[in-house]
Parts: sequence; C-alpha cells; structure tokens
Amino acid sequence: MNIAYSILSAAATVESAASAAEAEASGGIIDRIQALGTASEQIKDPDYWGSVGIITITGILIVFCILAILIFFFWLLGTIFKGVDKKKKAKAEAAKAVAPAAAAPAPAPVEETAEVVDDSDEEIMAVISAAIAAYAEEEGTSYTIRNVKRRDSRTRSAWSLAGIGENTRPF
Amino acid sequence: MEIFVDTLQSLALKSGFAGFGTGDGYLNIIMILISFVLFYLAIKKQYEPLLMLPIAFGMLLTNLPFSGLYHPELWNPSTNPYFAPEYVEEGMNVLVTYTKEVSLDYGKVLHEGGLLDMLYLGVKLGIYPPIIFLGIGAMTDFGPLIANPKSFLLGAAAQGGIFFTFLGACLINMTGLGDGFTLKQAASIAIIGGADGPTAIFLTSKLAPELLGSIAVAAYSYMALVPVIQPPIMKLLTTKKERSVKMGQLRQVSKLEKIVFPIAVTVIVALIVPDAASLVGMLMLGNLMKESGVCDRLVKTATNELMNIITIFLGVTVGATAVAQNFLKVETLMIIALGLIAFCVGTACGVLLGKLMYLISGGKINPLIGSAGVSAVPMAARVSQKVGQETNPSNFLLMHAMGPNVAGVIGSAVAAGVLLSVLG
Repeated sequence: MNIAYSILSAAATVESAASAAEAEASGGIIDRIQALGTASEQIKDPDYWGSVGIITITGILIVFCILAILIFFFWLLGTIFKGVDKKKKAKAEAAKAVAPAAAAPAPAPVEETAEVVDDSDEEIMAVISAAIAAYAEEEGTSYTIRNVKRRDSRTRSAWSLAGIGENTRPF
Repeated sequence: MEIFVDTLQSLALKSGFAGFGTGDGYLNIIMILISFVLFYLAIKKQYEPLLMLPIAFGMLLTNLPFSGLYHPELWNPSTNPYFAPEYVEEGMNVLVTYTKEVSLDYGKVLHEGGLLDMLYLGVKLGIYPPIIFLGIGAMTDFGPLIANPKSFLLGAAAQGGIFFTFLGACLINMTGLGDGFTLKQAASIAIIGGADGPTAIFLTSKLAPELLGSIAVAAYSYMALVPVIQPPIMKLLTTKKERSVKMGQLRQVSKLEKIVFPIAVTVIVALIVPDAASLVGMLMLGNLMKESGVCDRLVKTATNELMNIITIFLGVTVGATAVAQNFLKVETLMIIALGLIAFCVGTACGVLLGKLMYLISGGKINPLIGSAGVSAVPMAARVSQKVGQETNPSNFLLMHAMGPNVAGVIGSAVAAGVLLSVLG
C-alpha cells in the first residue's frame, strides 16, 4: 500500500517522491511524510493522521513519564533527607538532655500570664519574654511567662502577612 | 555637470527609497510599519520590552532595502545548499563527488553575510537559547519544586497546550487556507504553548526557521499578556471554594538537596530525551552554580552581562528573520491565533489537573497553582497569587505556584526535545 502510494506520488512530483521513497527505505513513516516537501502533499499521505495522532499522544505521555520519574526521584530523596534531619534533631536533643540542667529559675511575682503551653526552646522563650516586657511592662509591674503556644500554622498573623508582603513584592 | 547628475542618479537608484519602488518593495514598507507597532508595544505598553524592542529593531533593519544586514536566501538550503564530498576509491584513484546535499553552506554565509547574518549563526546553530537558559537557571530557585515534587505533574499538564495545538495546526491544513503547515511547522507553532521564549526559538530555528519571526513575536506577546489571558480561564474552571483553599507551608529544603537537584535532573532528562540536553543541561548548570555557592562571579556574569548580551543578539536577529516574504502571509495570522489557543489550552490543562489534585488530596491543593505550569516565570505564578488573593485576601499561593512554574520550564524543554527527536 505504502509502496503503491509512493509510486502514485512519484507521478505527481518526481523529486519529492524520490526522496520520500529514499526515506521509506531507511525506515520510518514520519520520515517518509516529512520528505514530502509541502503541507498539501503531506496531508494526502494515508498515514498522515495516524502519525499526527501518535506524535501527539506519545509526546504528552513522554513528558508526563519523565516528570513522573523526577517526582519519584525527588520524593525518594525528600524522604531520605527528612529521615536524616530527624536523626540529627534526635541527636541534638539527646546532647541537650545530657547537659546538666540549669538551676531552677526563681519564680517572680506573678501579675499576668501570656499564652499557653510549653516550648522547650529557651532562646525563643527569652526573645518572646523580652519582647512582651518591652511592649507591656510598666514600672512596678512584672510578668512571668508560664507557657507559649504556637497558633495554627495555616493562619498568619498580621506581622507575618506584612513580612510576606514585603518579601514577595518584587514578583 | 553631467557627471554630477549621473552620480546623483546612481546614488538615488542605489538608495533604499528606490528599493521600496521595485518589485515587492512596498511590502517592506508594511513590515516597517509593523515594526513601529511593536515599538509601541515594547515602549509604551512594556510588553516584554527587553526582547520586543530588539526584535522590532531587527525587523526594521532587515526590511530597509539594500541594507544587506540579513540575507534570507543564505539561510535557505534550497538557495544555499551544501554538498558534502563523497569519496569513492577506484583502484589507486579516489573519486570525489559532490552530490549529497547536506543542510546549508555555512562557508558562503561567512563570505557573503552581513552583520545580522553573523549574529544569526548563534540562533541557527542553537547557541543563544541554551545560554539564556544558563542565566535563567542561575536565577531560579527550585526549592518550592523540591519541597513539593507533585508540582512536576502540573508543569507537565500545562504542556498539554503544546500537543493540542500541534493537532490544531495540522487540522488547519484541512481548511485549505494558505499553504498550510508541514509537520515541522506545526510543531514549531505548537511550542508557543510552552510559554517559554528561548525554548520556542530553539525548536523553531531547528525545525522551521522560516517561521522564526512570527513565532517569536507571538510567543513574547502572549507571555506579556499572561495576566490578561489566564485569569478568566482560571475563574471559569474553578469554584470559589476551590480558589480559596489555603495550602500548608512548604518544608525547608536543605542545601544538599538543592545541589543534588540540578545534577539529577540533567542526568535523568538527558538520558531519556537527549535532544533536550542542551536546554535542560544549561538550565541546570546555571542552577548548580547558584546553589553550590562557590561560583559567585560566574553566577553574576551568567545572570547579568552574558544574558543581556545574548538577549540583544537573540532579539535583533530573530526580528531580522521577519522579512516581508516570510511574514506577510495569512499563515502569520494563523500562527498568532494558534499561539493564543496554545496558551489558553495549556492554562486550562494545568488548572484541570490542579482540580483533580484538589479532589484527590481532599481539598489541600488549590487548583489555581496549576495555571502556573505554563512556564512564563515568574509572571504565571504571580497571576495564581493574584487570583487566589482576590478570592481570599489572606491567601499566599506565590511560593506554591513557583513549584509548577519552574517545573513548566523543565516540562516545555522536555516537550521541545521530544518534538525535535521525532521530527528533527
């Protein structure tokens, strides 16, 4: 069928059919269609729409496959790194626990209490208490922070909204 | 006196003005007017001015008669063929025949070419787009993509526009309008849907260089119009509830991961689609230079001077390919229409996959980030952010949208590689 078509088109345009036949000899329907110089000749090829369909479908499939491979690879990598991170954190915490506990802090007179729940990071505690003290303390009053609770991470405070706004403005 | 008149006469005949009057010269005037429109778009409307302005100027230069800066006939294998020598041994003698036609005669280009012909070598040989990708890689943070690898899927879905348009361009042949598009031309037009200028230029210069001018103009115009084209499609395809989804914060990505990323992507992509290696490889080289933190000077050069130089060369030479005979055709209008379809379908595919992921994830993924899968970094991600914020002012989708956005760059380079390997 294909050869018959090659012969037919040879009658129409000697040159393009010759190169088409040559392309067919070297294999590949798409090569054969491409060898037919102009669009109007290409579309007459019986395998034209089949090839267009195959190029479209294989194209999108290959793009998806490659990106799927990348997803798998980086998902794997991500889980490995998360594991490593956890181990590191666990080690760091173990090291902290080994260090001798500091002298128990002397409880100061209590006036008001900020928010709730315990957090082990002392540095952050210090920063938060300093900030509250600077903001709210007046002469004669003092504050003790009993516990600090993290709010739901999905809702942002006005401060973090402002910060994000500032950082993303150039985009 | 006679000599004076003769001199004036010959000067007048050699001047460009005479060129406008001979043969198809009037077409050049139309092209020059089109370049003025592009100047307006670049300067007043600021449509991707860094590229649009050089493109418009290249178009102006090439259409001034007799300027001889760019010779389209030198870049056409049928008017400037190169015959490779074939050696046949006959006993003691070696016969040399020159019959096998192989691409262009670059020797002739070097001998007879003008300034823009020389610069165009960088486009024709596929040098400029990968160098631009080097700079883009050195500016891109793949962190959001590494933190959420699922974004790759959205970056792939948005390439649906490319393949849909390929089909569309082939279907146009059925209408019998104009000369129609060959498979190579159809693929080059379709790549506009990748919303990635360098990729579009790279593929077109390899497959259908005669369409380079119109495809580049269409691609860059639509990229500038992303904030106008995308939002209506995004709103049409999503419900208010879906648009207001807030996504959890992305995890921190370690430096080592960011270093492994470019190396792994290069190896995986280049092994599967070797034709995408030059684009993806340079993109990832730039990124590795940035993330390694040890090549500051190279990163600065790649993102500033080198990229700016290449942008000038690329713009002006791509503009120069828009000679009247190639540009003033009904096909150019079709390319502009098909490019728009490619953009719209790409956006829609991204949003629709986003919707699917919204359903599968139980409402954790905002489908708006899907539209950012058509590269156009960072414009498309900004559009996701803006549309999301319109629905819910406290919603910040930008970083989430950057994932699909940079995945889209990789996706369209891969799509270009696939088309190149099938049709090239």
